[in-house]
Amino acid sequence: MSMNIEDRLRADLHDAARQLMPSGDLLGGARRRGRQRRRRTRAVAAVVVAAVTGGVVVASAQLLGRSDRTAGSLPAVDQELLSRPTGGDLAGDNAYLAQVTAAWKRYVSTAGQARLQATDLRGEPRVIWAGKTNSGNVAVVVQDAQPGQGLVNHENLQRHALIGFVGTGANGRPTVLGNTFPMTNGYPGATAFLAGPRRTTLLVLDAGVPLKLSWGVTYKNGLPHRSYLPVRFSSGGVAEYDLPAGTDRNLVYVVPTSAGSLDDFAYSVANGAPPKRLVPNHLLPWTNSTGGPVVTGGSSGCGNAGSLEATVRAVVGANGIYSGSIWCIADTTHDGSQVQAEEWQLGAQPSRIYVQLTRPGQQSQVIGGGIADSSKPLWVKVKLPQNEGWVVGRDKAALSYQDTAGHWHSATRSGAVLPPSATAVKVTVPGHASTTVPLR
Amino acid sequence: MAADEDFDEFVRGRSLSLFRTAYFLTGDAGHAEDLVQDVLARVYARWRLIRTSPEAYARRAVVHAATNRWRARGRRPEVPMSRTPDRPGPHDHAQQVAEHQSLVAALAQLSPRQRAVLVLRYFDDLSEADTARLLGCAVGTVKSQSARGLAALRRLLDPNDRPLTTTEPR
Repeated sequence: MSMNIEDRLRADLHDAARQLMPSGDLLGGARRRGRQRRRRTRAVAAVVVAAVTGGVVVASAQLLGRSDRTAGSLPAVDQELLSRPTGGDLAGDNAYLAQVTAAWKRYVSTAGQARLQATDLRGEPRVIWAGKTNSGNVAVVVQDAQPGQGLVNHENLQRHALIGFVGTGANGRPTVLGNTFPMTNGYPGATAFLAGPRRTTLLVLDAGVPLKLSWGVTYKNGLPHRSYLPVRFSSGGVAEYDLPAGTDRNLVYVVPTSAGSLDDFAYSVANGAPPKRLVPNHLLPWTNSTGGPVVTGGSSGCGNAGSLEATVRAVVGANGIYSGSIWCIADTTHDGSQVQAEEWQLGAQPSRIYVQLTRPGQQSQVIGGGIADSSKPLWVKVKLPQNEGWVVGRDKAALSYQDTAGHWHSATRSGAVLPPSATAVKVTVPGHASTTVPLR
Repeated sequence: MAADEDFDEFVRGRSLSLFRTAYFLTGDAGHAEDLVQDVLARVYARWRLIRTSPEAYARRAVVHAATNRWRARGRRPEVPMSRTPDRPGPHDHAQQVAEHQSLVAALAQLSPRQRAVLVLRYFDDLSEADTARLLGCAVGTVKSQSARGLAALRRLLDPNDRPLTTTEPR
């Protein structure tokens, strides 16, 4: 190459871009969808999603239909925070409060731009809550500050109360866990955080918005659901919870009581999404996306991509932690129903199979196919409702099935939609003896 | 309504750029178009509330939507066959075009984060700091992802590795 890779990449991208034109009417489509969204948003006063990050900040976001920006003065919620008396059972422990303040000052003087969301801090920091928890001493600090770039309203450089969350470090001393603003540009920042060496104590700051808490996702008939309980603040303005054993902290959400769709969260974080945490990858080790007559050309291996993703996104939001594998099947049952199967992982939970079934002339139905399990001969085995057959899958395997008459039929590699007459599947992985799995 | 007119002007002026960014992030024109339309719908719904640059807001949304979509291990946008020449031709304009297309195809083979960093840095011409801010990561992460992404591109574009003909996600 005559140019270095950077120059070539820049040149090629711009060159290729000149040939790219959208085929549709982006403006018309955007306005049409936007009007629908506006109607929905009005009904949903606010949305806050908490995503637990590596920095142990529970980020949240909210869209409010009111202006909280008055030039020359701090918004009321920020004023209240900055003047809030110290609460918590360590409020009278002046030595601890001094340690917290010192830790905060060190943090703001050394934190890089990516970590500190503010510039131009003014006045002295104040500890507005300090208490003992099962995860050690915890405190909340506030200080008058200017939101950093990305949070700034360039038309009105509104100042806000910067909130700092302070836990106990491995050395036993106060350690700042994260910082945020209660509200900038109509969107709130973090209002809760996890503390403790195993991040098992959830603390939620009262910033004037009624909140509800969800410990995570549960499954009903194989489909993910969330349930919520109201967040009840103590008189000091902080609610404290210990995460139940086995809680997937990636799926712990704190949202406004009035929240509706979690999807809005993805675009309401003013300073970018909360940093993604790495979670264990439980997706099955598929090597190919084949399986039945896979429809290609969409944004995933299957056509109609997004329908099954929407099922998992409904409980995590577009910015939640979830992943789908490359495996999918798109096929038709014996009676003409369209079947699409995919594998998705929520948070750090085991991945699950989801099947979308669309009967002729009817609306699609999503079926929970259970946990995908690569330790079994058949990684995927889902019985379709109303005796419509089965969805089966196994990577690198030749699959054949036996019908009720005892005849064997060759199916396909890696995955298939089988008729209801199928009674067993023979799984043949190269180099291994065949295994027959009964279908029942 | 003035706000609607402002929005229309914004879309007319910036949607093509957003679409092209989305294309490089997703590798699929149809998906890119749908994604941009969805993002613009969100911008439209919140037009009065956006006090930062609408373009920055929309670009951030496009990047996040695209990287969320492809965050899954091994899930890669498909590379159209027409964009992956079988072999280099004579060193003329056609070859230059083919090389451009090969590079775009190679870009689609990177991890979502690496691809986002490279697209933002070398197509949208954002600084490292702005890229970090948009992705919600540290500048150091942008640097490391950029270096790894460029190294991967070099490997993918090594003549010994050509042709890039696969359409299978890896």
